[in-house]
Amino acid sequence: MIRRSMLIATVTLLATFAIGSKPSPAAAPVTLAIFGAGTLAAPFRQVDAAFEALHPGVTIQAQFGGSVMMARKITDLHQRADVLAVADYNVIPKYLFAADSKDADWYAGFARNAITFVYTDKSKFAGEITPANWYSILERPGVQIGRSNPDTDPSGYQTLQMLALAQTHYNSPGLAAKVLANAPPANMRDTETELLAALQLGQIDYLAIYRSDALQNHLKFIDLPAEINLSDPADAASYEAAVAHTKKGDLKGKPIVYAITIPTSAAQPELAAAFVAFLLGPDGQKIMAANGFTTVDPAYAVNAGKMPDGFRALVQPWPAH
Amino acid sequence: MRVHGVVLASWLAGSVLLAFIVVPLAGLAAMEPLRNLVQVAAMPDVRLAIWLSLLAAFLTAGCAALLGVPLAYVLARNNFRGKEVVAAIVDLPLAVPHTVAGIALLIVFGRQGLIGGPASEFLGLQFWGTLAGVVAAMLFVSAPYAVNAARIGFEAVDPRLEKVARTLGIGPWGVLVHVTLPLAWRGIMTGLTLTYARAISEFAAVAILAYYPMTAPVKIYELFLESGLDESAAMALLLLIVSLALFILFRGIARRRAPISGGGR
Repeated sequence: MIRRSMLIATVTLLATFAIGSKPSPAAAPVTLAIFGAGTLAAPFRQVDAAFEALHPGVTIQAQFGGSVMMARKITDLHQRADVLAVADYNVIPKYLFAADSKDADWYAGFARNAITFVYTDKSKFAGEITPANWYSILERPGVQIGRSNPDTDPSGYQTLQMLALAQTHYNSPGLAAKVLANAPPANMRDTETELLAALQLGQIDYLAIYRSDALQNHLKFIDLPAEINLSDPADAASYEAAVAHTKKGDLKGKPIVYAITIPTSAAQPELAAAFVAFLLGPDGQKIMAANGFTTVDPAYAVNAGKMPDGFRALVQPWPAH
Repeated sequence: MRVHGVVLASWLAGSVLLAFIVVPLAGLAAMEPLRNLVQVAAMPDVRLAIWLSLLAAFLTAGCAALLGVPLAYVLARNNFRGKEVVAAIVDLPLAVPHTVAGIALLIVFGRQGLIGGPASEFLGLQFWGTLAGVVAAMLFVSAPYAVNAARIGFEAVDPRLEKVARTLGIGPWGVLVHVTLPLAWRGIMTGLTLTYARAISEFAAVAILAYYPMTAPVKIYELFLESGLDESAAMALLLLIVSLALFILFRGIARRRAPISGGGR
């Protein structure tokens, strides 16, 4: 009997070790891990498909989320990514350059976007709103405005900066506070795209979001002037006057330029370089434009000297301001 | 001797599972210096989020007790056509992705929803960004646990005991209060404990209806985005400690038999 229980014990123990040991390496095809900002999901799906078609045997595994979340997955959780693309170029120096592990040393600005408000036919005062009177409509009592969390998400603080710019641009003191009074914390989420369902169900009337999302989702949007919508690098100096107060400190307005890098921990750096080159090239830029982004041609480079060989022809220095 | 082998083997198999649960959580605890834990525990918004989670989960368990236990009783004691369909419907939230559950709830409980519209207009009750919304999301994903465990509890009560009580002249409500509920007590309490636990852990469905006010899982996520792994892991550990203490307490209550007499209390 004792022998029997010993046997059972041994088998159980062996089973434990079998579960614990690593599986034998399978002949896996090459996978390229791409982390991207949520707004990039739609164009990247097309870029990925086009890239896979050019590189048989390559499988792209893309995941999308808030830009800071994606950066933190690399710096804090040490997840392996071959390519990281974020909605705010500042995220790369702030998190990856600064990390102890020096997770990246260059980046390229490859697309531009603009902050806007989307709405539907069901939205309050949808029939009256125009690019000229939008702020007086959004200030009206009872209007519900959605936005993302300025403490964690770029579009959250970019919305605050845009409202600060609008206040000066339209010479309308109190504009930002009045609009924000209609955007209480209850209408806030980690990422603005999480609020699209709420907009379509009429829970909120207007949603601060990127122009690319508006175009991809076929939503009506307010075409805000370039002086306030953070879309134009030429206006970078005046954007700086708009400051968003967040838990992470005061953030100055910057043009919305999407940036991409290859983390130093990438498992497939050559393939990643081919992917980035494809994205910066004419085919990639065509897909970005078709998805509502303004292209940057040639792309803006920071630390071009650290870039993979052959990138120099694809980039220009980041415009100084 | 034979029993000894069975117990030993069960222990060996069981300890693998136990280790599977404990090791990752202990890993979380081990990476957190006590200093972080104290620092996070001192943050008012962290304390508020944990308190809100405990409160909302308590209200959820209360709703599950009021609405779910009667359903469990019907399923255990009553045979009717379509009973298995009803039981399957009860299980359905377990299979629905929680983001989908959140969106489905928003459709009905939102400002312009079938329930949310009238509730807001006539009762002033809103589910968007409120405690009521948190409870609605928690109840949707956790109610199956309350119903299923209570049903097993009721089914374990021998109907002959209830019949004997009836022959002794006790009315149907009296039998329910003095015989059935006390005997099914453990199943009911187990179900409510599971409901409570599941409610505390819910993130996706809650975050769709109510990101603010922040429950503990939402706050942990926000801390992760805001200041990285250290603070969020410390808060996660804090939540674990509080939950563990509560579950030990609940198990203790469930173990105790409810008083068979004096059901009026």
